[in-house]
Amino acid sequence: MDSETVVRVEGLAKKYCPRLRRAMWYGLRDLAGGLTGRKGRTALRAGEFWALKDIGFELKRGECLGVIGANGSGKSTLLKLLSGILLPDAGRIEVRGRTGALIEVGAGFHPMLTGRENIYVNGAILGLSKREIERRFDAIVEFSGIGEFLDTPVKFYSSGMYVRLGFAVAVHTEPDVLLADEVLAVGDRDFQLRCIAKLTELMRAGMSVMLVSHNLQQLAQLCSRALLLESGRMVFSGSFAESVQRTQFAHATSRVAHLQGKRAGRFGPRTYATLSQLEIQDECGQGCDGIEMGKALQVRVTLECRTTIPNAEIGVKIASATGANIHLFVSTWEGLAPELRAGQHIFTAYIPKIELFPGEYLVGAWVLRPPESSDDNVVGALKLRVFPAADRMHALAYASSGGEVYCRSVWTHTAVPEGAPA
Amino acid sequence: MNGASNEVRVYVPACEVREGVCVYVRMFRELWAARELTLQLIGRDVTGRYRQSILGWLWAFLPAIGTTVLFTYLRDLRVLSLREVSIPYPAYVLLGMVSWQFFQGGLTAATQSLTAAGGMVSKLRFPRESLVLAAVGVALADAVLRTLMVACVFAWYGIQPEWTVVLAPLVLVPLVVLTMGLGLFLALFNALVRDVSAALPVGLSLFFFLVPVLYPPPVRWPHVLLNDLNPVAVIMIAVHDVVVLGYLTRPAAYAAASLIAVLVFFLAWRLFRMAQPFVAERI
Repeated sequence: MDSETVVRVEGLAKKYCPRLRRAMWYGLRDLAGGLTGRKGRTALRAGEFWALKDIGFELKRGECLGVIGANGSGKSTLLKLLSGILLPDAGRIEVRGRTGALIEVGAGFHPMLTGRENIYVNGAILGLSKREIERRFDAIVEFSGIGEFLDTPVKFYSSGMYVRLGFAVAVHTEPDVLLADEVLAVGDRDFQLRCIAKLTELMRAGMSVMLVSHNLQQLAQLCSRALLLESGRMVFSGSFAESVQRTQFAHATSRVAHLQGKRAGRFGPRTYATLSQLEIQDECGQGCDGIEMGKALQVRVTLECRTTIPNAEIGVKIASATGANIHLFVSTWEGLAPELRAGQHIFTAYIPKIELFPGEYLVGAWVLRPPESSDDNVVGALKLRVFPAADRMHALAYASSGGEVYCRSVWTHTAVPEGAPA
Repeated sequence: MNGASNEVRVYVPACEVREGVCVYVRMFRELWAARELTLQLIGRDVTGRYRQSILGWLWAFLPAIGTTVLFTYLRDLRVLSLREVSIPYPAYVLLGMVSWQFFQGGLTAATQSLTAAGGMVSKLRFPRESLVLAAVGVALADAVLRTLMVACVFAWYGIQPEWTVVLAPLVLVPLVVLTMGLGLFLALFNALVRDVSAALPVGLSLFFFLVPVLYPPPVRWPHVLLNDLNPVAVIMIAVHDVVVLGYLTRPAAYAAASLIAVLVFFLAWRLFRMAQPFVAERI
């Protein structure tokens, strides 16, 4: 392992048994096997499954790797294996330097002790000596923003304060590798921003980070690469942008989305209406998979009505690749709330000018009966590509810096003569 | 960033790890490295325990006082027919209770230490022995407190301890080692199957009557043997001997008990180490 690599994982596998009694029995048997020095079997026993299998990747110094996957896809198990809490059932993990695991923030806090006392205890649990903690004490308190509650027992802390203190202690252990599991999700906006700033600062100093999160916008600020887990298998490992494409666009089709039988990214009871098709068209009504920036776009929504609805609302939404809504186009806003009879209906939303920066976007739709919530709602069913336009080349330069939409502005300039009041 | 910055740790399946006796060297080194953690955990539990109680530290004394008062009363009623003991009966019981309650409290707390720490064990990496040893350490802190109480009672009765009383802490060491050993063993199994913590109070309350706390050590034959085979009883008697008599009544049995204690500790420690990954998985 060269000196720039801090984590290397090869052929990693971990099995789990979800049945309590059976797990207990297997545990005793594994232990007996370990004592007698019997070679453990790698094969699955009855009732077991692979929580992780065939995982392999490398993490370099100063790099941030995002771990993306649905609930139960093995993200936390992976972090526990990397931090040495669990041992693998197959494969090999090499970790260089001190690891800091934030799998549960504030684990080890004693509710009766004050924040001050808990900083010392938690620091010791995370492997710091008393002197090291004393040296960092002020920085920890400062970062956590606990302030006057420092000498209050932590059981009276709000959950946000609890997490802030736990996070503050953990990042100040200055690990070489920080393993963080959904820790940025808690805490208020202000604290989240401070966390991201702190992590960026530490990464610049050489710390590597593995970050589990469902919040892609947040990951996007830190991660350059990502792992994609799906029921314990690594389905992708590579650039963050590409893994986002893979997760967000996994269920999206180009041009036309046929919605019969579609279940992923769909909610609503579907009692009176069902969306059946979603299509992108150019301004002439021709089906297409994308348009040039600044051109007109039509979205055609087809739906089946089961009963008569007195005033229907149809909506179309465009979201960014990380899942944030950008545009909502709603029929009722524009004065269209027709009575729908049982049968098929087609709605077309005409958008005269699409000013999204070039890239890929997700299109979804909904139908509802105001003021109820949507009866059928489809998210990210269709992929919309926006191409660069010759008269909008400036957008290309800024698209990567975080903006999503262009909006025209009018500028004036006045030079103020020297000595004159501004 | 820090000293250990370039050390590479390797994790492989448990069955691929092969270690000889020299593993104890590494275990000692890691335990030594975790000494501050253990002390912090002791401090945490000692200070945190009685914070939300009115009687606070008195709870360290009340059980022993209650037992002593009750059995002194039963003895005066002649419900119990006991041979005469070396010193006034209440002082005798309280002295024995220091050793016994250390063993009982330490073992109970140690057994529950892993499961009580719950999230810590399954979500943080640190030497888990620290939890068990800290639980025993807390019981030891209690024992020190109770010794003060015993000193007061001795003064009240005007009992002059022998000079060998200064050796009492040393004589108690095998009991500490034994409690840690049994604690490691039971904590581990309690993490896997919870029957252990359910059975322990019952077992301990029965075992209490096999240790000569309330009665003088047996003198007739099969009973003596039974007593000599019980390391807890032997060490407890030895503590009594150095405080009251100034010599050991059963030095051979004491030596054997010490040896057993050390063996139990080292075996249990090794087992605990090997089983750690299974424990984290199933806590």
